[in-house]
Amino acid sequence: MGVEVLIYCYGIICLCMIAFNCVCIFSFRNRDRRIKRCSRSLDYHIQRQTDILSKGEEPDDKEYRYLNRKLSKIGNLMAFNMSVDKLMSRDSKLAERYLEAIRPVILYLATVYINKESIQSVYFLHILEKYKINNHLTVDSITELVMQYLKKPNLYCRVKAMKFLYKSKSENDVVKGVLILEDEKVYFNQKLLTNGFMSFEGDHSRLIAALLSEFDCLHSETQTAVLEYIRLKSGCCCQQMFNFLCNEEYDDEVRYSALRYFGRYYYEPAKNVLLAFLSDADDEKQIYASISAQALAIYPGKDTIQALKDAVSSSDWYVRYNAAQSLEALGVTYNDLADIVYGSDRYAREMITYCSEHKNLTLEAI
Amino acid sequence: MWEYFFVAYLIGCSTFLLLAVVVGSSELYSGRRKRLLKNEIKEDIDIPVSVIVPAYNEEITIGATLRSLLDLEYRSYEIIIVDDGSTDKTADILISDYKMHKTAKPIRKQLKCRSEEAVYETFEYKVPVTFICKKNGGKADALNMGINVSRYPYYVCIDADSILQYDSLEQIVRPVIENEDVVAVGGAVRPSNGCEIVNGRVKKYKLPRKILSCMQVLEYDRSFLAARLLFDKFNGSLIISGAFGLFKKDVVIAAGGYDSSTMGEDMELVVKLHVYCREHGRRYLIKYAYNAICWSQVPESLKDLTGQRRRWHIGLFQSMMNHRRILANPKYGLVGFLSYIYFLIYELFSPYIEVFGVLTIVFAFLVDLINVPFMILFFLIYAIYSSVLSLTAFFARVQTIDLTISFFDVVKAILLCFFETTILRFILAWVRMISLIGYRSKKKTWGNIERKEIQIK
Repeated sequence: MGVEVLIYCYGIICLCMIAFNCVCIFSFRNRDRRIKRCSRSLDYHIQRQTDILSKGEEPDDKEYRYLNRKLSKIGNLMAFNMSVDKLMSRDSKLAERYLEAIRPVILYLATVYINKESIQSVYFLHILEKYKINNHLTVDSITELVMQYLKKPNLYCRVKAMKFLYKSKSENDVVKGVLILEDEKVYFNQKLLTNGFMSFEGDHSRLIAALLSEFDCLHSETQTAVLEYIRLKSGCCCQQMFNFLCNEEYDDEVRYSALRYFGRYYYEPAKNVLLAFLSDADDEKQIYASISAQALAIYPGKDTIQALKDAVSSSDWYVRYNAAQSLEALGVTYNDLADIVYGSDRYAREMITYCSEHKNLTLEAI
Repeated sequence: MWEYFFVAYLIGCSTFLLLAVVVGSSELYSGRRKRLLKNEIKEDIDIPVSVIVPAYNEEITIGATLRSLLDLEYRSYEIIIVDDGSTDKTADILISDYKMHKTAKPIRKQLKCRSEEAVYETFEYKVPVTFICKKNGGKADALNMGINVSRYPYYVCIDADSILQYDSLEQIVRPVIENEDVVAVGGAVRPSNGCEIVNGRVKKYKLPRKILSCMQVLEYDRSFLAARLLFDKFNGSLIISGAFGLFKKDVVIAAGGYDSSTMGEDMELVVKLHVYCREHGRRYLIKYAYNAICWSQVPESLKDLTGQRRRWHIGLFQSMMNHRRILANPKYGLVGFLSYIYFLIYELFSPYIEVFGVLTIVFAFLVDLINVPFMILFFLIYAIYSSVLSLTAFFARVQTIDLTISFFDVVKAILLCFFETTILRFILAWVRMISLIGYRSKKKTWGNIERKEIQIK
């Protein structure tokens, strides 16, 4: 009978799950209706406040208290989002003035939502970011609060908080945010961080300078992201990049990134280093060699061509491939490569032939 | 003694199913709540991926599959189709319809596979397409070739009769963006029979007309979706469906790639990744992305279904045998203690236990050793219990991914889940039980399921 009772129990739990499903379906549908209803009531409220603003007056304390109380609930915040959207589509300037007028409410909500479950904190940050609320607030006050969100153990929360900082136009805040993440031992995906830096809305040259000034305090993964960002954004950091490239104390990934930089921006002093990497037969250094082979595509010269021709016979597939691509990019003709094309190294020959074919096919497609 | 064994088996099985469905459903609802509250990374991060499609005699489906791959909403990817020595017109269709050019592309053979006969490429579409004709060597061999040709650090493998949903690549790379320790991500494979898919989007969702396919829809939700969400909780997934999965290439290569000597190359690879990462002290995660959806045709005839399940069971047996040292080995953590033991008892041995159980009941009935009313009651409880679990998983899935189904389909699901748990399950248990007879002679063959043309609008 024991088993029977157990199975009955399981059956009851399953029925509870079905009931849970039904409640969820009902609640999802009902919530949409509830949010719309709440949004309608907020519409009237916002309308009244924008009328006051149009007259050149400011909302009173009672108004702040009402919003503080109302928007502390996540459902109402979603309704508020809906109402502000409507106002934005009607009159974006007025909406911005309204958001500016309710600064104290936003600051209050920032202190409320930091103590809520992470999933709700993320939504609050989403609202901040969506309406660029940092533009309407005393930057210091809200930024300090957002920095606290970076410490919450939730990836989305941290990503949204960083997004807010990127939009704050302050390079110091971004760097401060990065350092908080470092302290928390949180390392974003390199692309996520690089993309974030790229979306910075302030002066990029100042952000680059600020990041470089803290460079040695960063973890190698963050360092790589910073260098990738610099590579994509500025060609004015050749000297610093050269230093990173030549300093063997940096992580290999960091130095690869510096190496790639010189494949995008020509820097005469880097050429000899690239050639040296390319001719290095050390198996451990083949990634340096393959990136160098690629980078040399913008360093014309007899020495480059000879080094690349030699590299086409490398034992590493990627070195061969990149060298062949670079020779093609440097405009080296098929005749100039006769010694390889008619030579005894089948792998080198195949690579040269393929790169030529590849180029023709790509051109045909264009 | 035997009754205690059966009781323990039953309790274990029911508890696992219950846990899987409860955890799975909660995970789905929590995922929906997260989406509503914008707990997402909606960046334009293009982690480039190589999409590898092994094909063998796929003349009916390959054109539509490639067209659907070209329609995906993702920026950086390449498509690699590997024809594993097809004897039909698979190659002709691709070469002529997609204006492929023969090239001398050198292939870096990092993984062992049979040699290529010709390589074709085209750059006329939004992403490069490479088509390789090679000597027949089996699906694993074709996948190894695809990996050798691929140029990106992550690859996705899909079946040639499958269609990826428009956002599936974005969804499947998301776990990688969230955590760089992720070495593999399993996508959700859904039966496409009965669905209308336009530009990778489900326009109309209804249960398949054929009863057998319909029962498989319910089975997929209960057994695959819910169970995988549960295993995902403790990094214990042992299977990523061959129909749709993403892998980190360098780890797969380091682990030795796909094993051509097994029939279940998908499971074999995942177990191998666990073993490799654990033995080399590498931090790793194997995730399941239920939002990354791949629509795949499920067999519509009993013959095809039994053939498919037979191959799956042989593959399971081979993987379990090859990696038997995992069993209860503390070095492999919960993978050895929970996942492996679960697969051993409730997947590999279950058909034998279940069929033996049924035979015992029949024997006991014949010699009048059984309380018949109790047996009937017990069977009914079992059937209702399993049906309720199937329905819970099915409705949780339908609700949380914003699909709407008709009232008729709801009734159909309720009725068919009863048959699925009481009849189909035992038929498949029998098929799985006898699957190991003479398996050695067929271990390198591709499964032949009667293909239907994929309707892409």
